Amino acid sequence: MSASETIAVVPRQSGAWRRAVLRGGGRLAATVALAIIVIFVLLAMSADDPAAALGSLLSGPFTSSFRTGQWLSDSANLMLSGAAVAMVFRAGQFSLGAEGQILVGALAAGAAVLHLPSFPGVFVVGLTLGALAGFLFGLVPGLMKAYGGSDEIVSTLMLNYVATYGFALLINRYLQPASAGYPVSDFFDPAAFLPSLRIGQLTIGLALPFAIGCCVAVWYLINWTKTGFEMGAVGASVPFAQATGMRVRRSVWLSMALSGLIAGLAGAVIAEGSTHRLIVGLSANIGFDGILVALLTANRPLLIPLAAVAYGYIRTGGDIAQLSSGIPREVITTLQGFLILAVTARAPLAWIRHRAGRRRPAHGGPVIPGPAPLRAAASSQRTGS
Amino acid sequence: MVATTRSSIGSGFSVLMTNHDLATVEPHGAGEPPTGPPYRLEAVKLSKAYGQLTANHEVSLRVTSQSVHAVLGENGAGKSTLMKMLYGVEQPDSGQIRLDGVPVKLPNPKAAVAHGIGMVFQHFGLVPSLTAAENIALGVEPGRPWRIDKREILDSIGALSDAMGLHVDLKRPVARMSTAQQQRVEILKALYRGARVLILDEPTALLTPQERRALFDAVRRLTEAGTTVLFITHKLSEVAELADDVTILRRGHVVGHGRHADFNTAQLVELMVGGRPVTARRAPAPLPTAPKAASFTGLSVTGSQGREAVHGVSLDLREGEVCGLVGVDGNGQLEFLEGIAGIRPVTAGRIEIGGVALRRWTHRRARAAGLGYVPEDRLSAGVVPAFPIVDNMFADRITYGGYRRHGRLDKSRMRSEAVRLIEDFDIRCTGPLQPAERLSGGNIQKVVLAREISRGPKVLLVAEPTRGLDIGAAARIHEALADAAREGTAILVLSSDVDEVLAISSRICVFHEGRLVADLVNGDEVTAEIIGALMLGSAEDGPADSPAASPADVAPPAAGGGA
Ligand SMILES: Nc1ncnc2c1ncn2[C@@H]1O[C@H](COP(=O)(O)OP(=O)(O)OP(=O)(O)O)[C@@H](O)[C@H]1O
Ligand SMILES: [Mg+2]
Repeated sequence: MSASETIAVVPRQSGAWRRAVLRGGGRLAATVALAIIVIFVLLAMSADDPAAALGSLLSGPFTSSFRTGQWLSDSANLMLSGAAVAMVFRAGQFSLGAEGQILVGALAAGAAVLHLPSFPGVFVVGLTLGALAGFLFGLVPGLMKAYGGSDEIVSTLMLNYVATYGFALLINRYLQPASAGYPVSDFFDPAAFLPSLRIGQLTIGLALPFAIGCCVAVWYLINWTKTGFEMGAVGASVPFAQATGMRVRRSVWLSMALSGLIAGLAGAVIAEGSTHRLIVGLSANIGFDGILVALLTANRPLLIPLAAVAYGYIRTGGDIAQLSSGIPREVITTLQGFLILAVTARAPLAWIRHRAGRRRPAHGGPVIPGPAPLRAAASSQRTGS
Repeated sequence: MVATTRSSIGSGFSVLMTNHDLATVEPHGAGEPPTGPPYRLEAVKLSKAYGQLTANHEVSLRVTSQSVHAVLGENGAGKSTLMKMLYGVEQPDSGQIRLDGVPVKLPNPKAAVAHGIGMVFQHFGLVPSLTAAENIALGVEPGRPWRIDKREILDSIGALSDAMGLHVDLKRPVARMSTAQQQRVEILKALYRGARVLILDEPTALLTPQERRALFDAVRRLTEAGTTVLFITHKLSEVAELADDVTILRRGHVVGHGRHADFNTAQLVELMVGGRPVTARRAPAPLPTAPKAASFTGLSVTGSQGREAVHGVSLDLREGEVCGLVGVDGNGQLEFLEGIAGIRPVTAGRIEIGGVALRRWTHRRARAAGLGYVPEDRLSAGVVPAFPIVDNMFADRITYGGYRRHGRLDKSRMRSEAVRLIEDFDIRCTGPLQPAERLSGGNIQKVVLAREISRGPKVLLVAEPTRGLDIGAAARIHEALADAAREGTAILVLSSDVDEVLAISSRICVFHEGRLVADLVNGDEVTAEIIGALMLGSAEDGPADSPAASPADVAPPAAGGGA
């Protein structure tokens, strides 16, 4: 009756990992392909010359090295934002505050570099302060949830308004030059620009490797550290976390604050690397698009660079197409909405799989119809690797 | 009596009426071809594999109409898998399912329901925020699509529940119901959908002795009214009490089947666990000089309803002691345990573990002071179903900084130690990376026990240690607890099975109305009757039908014996 006969060989870690990545990648490719079909339908309805419009949408980022650089820079910002969101979703907290945290981070970084005397490396001070500001701005709803039981979805969405209007107000009060007609600051000193690398005509900002590094760091935190393990457990089951002695509250506020830290960094990177000054609308919706990027990868940090580059391509292509062939902004926004639907509405996929007879519901139980809850999606990603 | 029952149903409820009419109006064999045996439900050589693991191999099952059929077998034998195939949740790889001799395909539970099959899973699938009535009628509401006839729903369900003796408050949200009440809702839900074959997966595992008796009464009434019942259990006493026929599974194979009367207990045990000797060891009482492991003084604990559930209870534990906590459900023994564990607020009193008294008593501190805790509800608090076995096994140690090397989690060491525990506790799985949700119910319980025993606690709190475990596994857990006690762990065991407490503990503490009313040294002179009387609050004249006086369960083997 020994159990040894029923214990199979432990699957090799690398194999399982590779399969997971392949599966994630395949799904991503399918979603993107679907998106392209939808874009074309939309273009056919809205553009005078759909083919040209599609052309500029699809090839836009490659038409000049400036545009390619723009694409990669946008992708880096998306990566950071996506990493921030994935991290907090994996911890089971549905913080939607990345948008506000980005603004706060940008503001802190911008205020610092505008006021500090210029010296080489001053941009690091900006990044640090941006991260710190984001951390604190994420900590607030984290503490509210951990100790006051407030719902993080509501509190973070509300704080986004605080950040958006606070950002404009503070620029207007303290940083806006007299000549400017709307909330915008002076340009930073070039020492405060994020360094970039010039390869021929192409400029690649430090932001890109930095963002990839952040994704790896989030992956490491979630999979290889005690704190990350606790966050995952709290995200999956609070009663379990409690009954095994975990610090549930700490995990709640810490995950939200760390997510804020990454988002704050993203804000600083946008200010120092892309806009080079503080300006209303600086975030260009990166905070919410980060949610999309995270969902596209089902919160797998190592897939985020891929998803961010793909989605950044669509974003940049859309901007270019809007300029060059007059595709309305709405088409791009519609596309984004469609992508969110395609990613979050898993029911049709599950149904197809069920028809194919390859999958069963996990553990007995009558299946209650309805949308797959986000929480389950966020917590089911843990594997033993 | 049956006839009147039925007319009362008939007044407001047509779905069930039709079905039960069908079941009674067409007696089997009447219009059937003579070749077809009159089996209500039949599984013919069903096989099912999960990857490499064969959960069911050519399993055949014959259930006679209006009978109660018990399915027995050790943990992971494939019982739940078989039931899931009969309910369309899982698809057999090969084999056939027949209803009244006619082959049927059950691609999903909906099809099974359409064929009059209902199932109550061990882990219920009710919507907590909806009321009992809403849960029962969900998806099959009578009335127009745009207007649900609530009155009719309440009337028809009420008639059904009266007829079957399944009493629940239909207007109460399920979230505020006890396990037994939720189970009744589940049964009513199946019946409301017209189930004439009712499958119950370990229905008694979560019930108190009184609730179990009520369930059995309901089952008898159901079979009288034409329903056929198929149920899984690990307790042979329940088989004796209720079942007409039995089928025994081992490692996915049918190893025995027939009328229950044709088997004696020893044969059933032999078939279930393959002849392994099954014994429980009572831990010897520690010497009075044994050092104190823990002391609890004047503890008051708040219960779920916000009222005080434990009133100033004091208790000292010595190293190596196995102390059984018993009481009729709801008398504070569970709250006492959870209070000590730091899961529930302790409003007054002092807790000392290993000589250390802590000011703010939280579960985290309790564990740091050397406490182990097996929660009552293993699926929500015991494990994370989606996590692999290894993560579930070491979660407690990871959070205190264990299993780290060079600052990161040492997963290879975790895995190799998990493999060792899997062998020690005989957990049937494909390896340490298998998610807990893919384990059988009993094996999930073993994962929790492996975690808590292997951390080597000074004081181990265990709620319902062998709930859902088969006879052999239960004996092995008792063995492991005795081993831990021998190494000096003080163990506090709460069990609703008095015979289990009698079998393994050196000392027995009886709770009544939130107070410790008796604290006895266990010995041959202590019997289930004595404990039962104490549980009801009187030492002298315990009524004959005290919970403990029910026939002794064979699992676990009783040392004290029953009525
Ligand atoms: N979804 C699944 N994937 C892989 N293996 C599974 C799955 N479900 C069950 N198993 C395996 O199939 C075997 C039989 O499981 P099953 O749940 O039928 O056992 P059981 O007889 O009900 O046991 P118990 O008494 O412990 O509930 C077990 O070894 C289990 O690990
Ligand atoms: Mg089972």
